[in-house]
Amino acid sequence: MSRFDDQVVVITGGAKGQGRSHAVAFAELGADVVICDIAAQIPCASAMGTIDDLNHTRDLVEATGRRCVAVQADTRDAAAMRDLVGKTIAEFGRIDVFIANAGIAAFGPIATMPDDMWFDVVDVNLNGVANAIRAVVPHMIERERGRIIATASIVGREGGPNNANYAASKWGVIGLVKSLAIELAPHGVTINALSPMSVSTDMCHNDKTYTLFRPDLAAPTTDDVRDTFAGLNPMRVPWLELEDSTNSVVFLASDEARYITGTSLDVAGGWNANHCA
Amino acid sequence: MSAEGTPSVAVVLGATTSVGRAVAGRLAEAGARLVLVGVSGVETSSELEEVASGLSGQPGEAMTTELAPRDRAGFESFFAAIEERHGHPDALVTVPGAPRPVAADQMSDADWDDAIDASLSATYCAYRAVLPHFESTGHGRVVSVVGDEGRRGAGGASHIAAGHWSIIGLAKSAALEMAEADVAVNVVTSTALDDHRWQDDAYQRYAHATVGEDAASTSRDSTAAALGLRHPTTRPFVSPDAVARAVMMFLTQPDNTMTGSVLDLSQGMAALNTA
Repeated sequence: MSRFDDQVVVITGGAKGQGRSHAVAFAELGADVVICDIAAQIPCASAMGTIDDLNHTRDLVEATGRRCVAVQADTRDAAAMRDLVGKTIAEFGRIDVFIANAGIAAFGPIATMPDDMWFDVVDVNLNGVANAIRAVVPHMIERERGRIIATASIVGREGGPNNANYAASKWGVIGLVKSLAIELAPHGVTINALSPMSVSTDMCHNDKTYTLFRPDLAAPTTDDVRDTFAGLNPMRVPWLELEDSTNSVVFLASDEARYITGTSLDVAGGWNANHCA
Repeated sequence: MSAEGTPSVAVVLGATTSVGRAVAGRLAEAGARLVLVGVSGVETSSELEEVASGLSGQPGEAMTTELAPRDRAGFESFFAAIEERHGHPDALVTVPGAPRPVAADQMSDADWDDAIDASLSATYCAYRAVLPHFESTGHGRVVSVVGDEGRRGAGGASHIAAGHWSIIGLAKSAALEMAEADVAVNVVTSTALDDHRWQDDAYQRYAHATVGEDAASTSRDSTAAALGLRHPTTRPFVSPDAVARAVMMFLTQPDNTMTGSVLDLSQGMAALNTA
């Protein structure tokens, strides 16, 4: 596996879940890491990271012997994203890898969905990702190098019933990534999307999601939903483990992926085999 | 809906765009009652009135209004007014405006926000206003028109691409949710529309860039030549009326056999899609 010795990696949504997993992995591979998280709850979303979670990720990164800066910031605030990039460059001198990972989910039918459920999800998952990426693009163009990875979803590759807000936002991320791949290619900068199926995080394991998957049960448990989740993909895997997502992100950031740009890497147990264009 | 499948009451969002005008014209000729909605900041009330005054064939005058793209309450109250005057709409066509292309490192926050709001947010508000009625009445037709930027990457237009890709994701999701009712939600995409935008220098440079040309000076003629190189058919533009014909095909289908589809009017570029 590639090493990232002395590289500088920035990760949004770093307080817990996939972002934390990515942060620790890059640190173990030799990188210094800046983690950013809103560290606050958006009402419609499943349980989000806290300031304690953010600080715990920082502690986990520092335990590897690498440096870590934790920044509480909201990706929906474009100026805050520019500050994040500026602060990172001031502290570490550069950014080698930028992972626009922050995202939320909230389920409901499009015909009756409360407005915050639509706008909050789109604002975080699409506009927040764009704010973060737009903030780092000038720096990477100037350096003529850099790797950007945006977290999309397998739901960004098809329609998502009860999930139109999330699907629309993730489709938008993939369109953004493909467009920027064309823009940034002459500058030696790659940008790709990671499109995983459900990952074993709080976004997956919560009462609302479980009830959506098993509406026939009053209080479904993890065991109750396992087969329903597994039925979504040919490999019959209920959800990815964190390392499945992180390994793919590390690959996209690695030297081995130097000519991969503008792709959406589907990590979905073959779910993607059902898709055409 | 008439026996021929023509909608009774059709809402056109983005009615002053070239495609919006063409769709409104065809719907009026077919005898539908027209409701023309403009997106604030993109279209003006006077432009809407001008489109309405040019329509012929529909019963009565077209209703018009201009709404802010995130104004859910405004959409709801206007759609309540439509119901009071005409009954439930049975067709919705959405056509986003065309913000100027701009590279990501030159893009302002407003460039991004306005592009997403004028495309995705306005489309969401319109869907949200009609879909509960379509679902409860068990009938409805939705067609969203987007650019070719919604089908592939668009260097220099990432804000347009993101908005248009996301509309396709929304349309497919709504199609799945409404599939068991007689509700169809489809998308028509178009490559370069034969309209005023190609007079704009930013659009001209964007077109040249799609074929790898960094032109020092551009014109509409040089842009047409570049687009002709891009398209397998060698034709530079798609006529707005060709898009309107495709929209009418989806609107007038007798059932929702076609739903969740994306129909590319791409001058042959669809042959470059992966499947």
